[in-house]
Amino acid sequence: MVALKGRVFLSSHSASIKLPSGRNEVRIPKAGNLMMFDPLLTGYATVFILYAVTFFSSFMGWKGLSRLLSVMALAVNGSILVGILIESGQPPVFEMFGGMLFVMFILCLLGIFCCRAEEGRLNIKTWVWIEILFLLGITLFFPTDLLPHRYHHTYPWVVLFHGFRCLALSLALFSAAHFVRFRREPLRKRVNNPLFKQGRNYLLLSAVTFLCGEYSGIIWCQNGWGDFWHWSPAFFQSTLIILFFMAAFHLPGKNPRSDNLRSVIAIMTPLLMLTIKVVKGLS
Amino acid sequence: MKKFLDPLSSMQFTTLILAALMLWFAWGILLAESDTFRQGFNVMNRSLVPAWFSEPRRLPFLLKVWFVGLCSVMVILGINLVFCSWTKILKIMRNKQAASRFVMLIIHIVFGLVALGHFGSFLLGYRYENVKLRINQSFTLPEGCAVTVKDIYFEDDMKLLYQRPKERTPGAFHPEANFCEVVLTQNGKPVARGRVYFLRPFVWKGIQVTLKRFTPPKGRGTRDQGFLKPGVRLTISRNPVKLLVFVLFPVMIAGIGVHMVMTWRTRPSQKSNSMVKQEENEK
Repeated sequence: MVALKGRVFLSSHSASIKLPSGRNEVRIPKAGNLMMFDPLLTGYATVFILYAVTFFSSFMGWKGLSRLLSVMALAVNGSILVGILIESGQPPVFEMFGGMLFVMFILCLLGIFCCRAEEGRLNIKTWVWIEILFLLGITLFFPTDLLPHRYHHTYPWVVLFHGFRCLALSLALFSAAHFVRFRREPLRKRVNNPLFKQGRNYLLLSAVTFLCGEYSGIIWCQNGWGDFWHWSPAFFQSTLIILFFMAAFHLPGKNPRSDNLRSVIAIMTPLLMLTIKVVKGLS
Repeated sequence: MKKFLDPLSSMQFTTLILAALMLWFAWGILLAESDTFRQGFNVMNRSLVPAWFSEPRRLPFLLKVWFVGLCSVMVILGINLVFCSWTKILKIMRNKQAASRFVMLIIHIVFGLVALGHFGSFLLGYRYENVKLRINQSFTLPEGCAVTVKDIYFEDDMKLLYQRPKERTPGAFHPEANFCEVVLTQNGKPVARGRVYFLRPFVWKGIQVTLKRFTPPKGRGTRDQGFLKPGVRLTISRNPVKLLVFVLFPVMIAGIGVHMVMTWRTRPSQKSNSMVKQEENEK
């Protein structure tokens, strides 16, 4: 019998043991009874079920149950993130799976603590749970494998860049939930609507966090490439998102028509951010 | 004068310019993703604006058109910003919601300066990318300066030099153990000496030496010590407006944050309510 000493990497497809020499690697395929339990996949399934049940109870108007389930979902979501952090040694903001779970975690926090009390089935909270289920659906198409440790993934500016982007996406989605809810209001109630104002507040907060991410990004770029601007698709995409934010706040007029148009742009902003994230995740 | 000022400072005009910029950057993404123009963007990253236009075939014609178009739209946005800020100053002088308007004015001025800083970085200073140097080799810079590589320390397995960063075994590369030592000379006299690590450039009076990667040794056929050790690929740049952007960018973010706090409202304002009631009465 040979005793092996080293680090064990777990993924949904295989398990590998890396020996201290750094060269030898033993890969064990995940098949049959050898490895049936994948903590990440199990956690993902649990969190999916919890969020789905939370949405259902919120839609049915069972407020107490919905609150309890949402706290449970938040706890499971948080523990998966901590698990990824411990296992991979880097914050869960880089790859699609971890990043999306982080976005959902923040969105769930906002849904529990920052939503105003509302009557009706399709209230802001219900829209937040719909958004989370949508994100979980997107995550299904991406591997749950943990990212191998890369030296720049612990560099503070890189972590801040990705972290702020995830935070900005969460806030923009939360803002979008307000705007969707606002658009479902009858026309006569849309004038000077508090939902619109709250949506605008969170969109502005999202813009601030996105710009913080951009600032971290330009420091990373300056230290890694010797300049703070690069003529590349990634920079153009970031600029496009900033322009969307600017457009949402610069639309003229203080009338219901302008507010309607503003709400459409505000809903489109997180969709654009999400599309860019998905495209990057696929490439 | 008012007839001339109003359209130029209007929000409708701003929205139009923002829409044009969105289209322009979307086109930019398509160009940057295409194989035909990717090389052109690499040229733009390697050198500054004067070099793009000095040689006829250095940059594809379409990229020149794209860049000139981008600059033109930005100039129009600048004109709109100046006129809009001027009318804001007039309103502040009349003391209408002075505090938040004043913060807004500062944000716009700082945004203009940040944009100018970005434009300035394309024109001023210098930038040399992919400078390949080995031990005791120098690279001459303007104003009588030169960068000489004094020593290169590469403690990890040399095999890594032949692999792309993504192909490397996780944890095999140690960025803190691998670096190069450079000496900066002015008119032949050494003026500064320092180490260049990954993501930790060497900076002296605005001249930045950034380590991009290590290159494999030249071969065994040579007796020169410099060729038996790995080489380095550096980016040497000097950007006189870097500090301006790095200081003003957080000022702009802070300004938006302050404005957000000042205007964070969840309830309809008294004034707006009375306006709505008045509108309803009129109906």
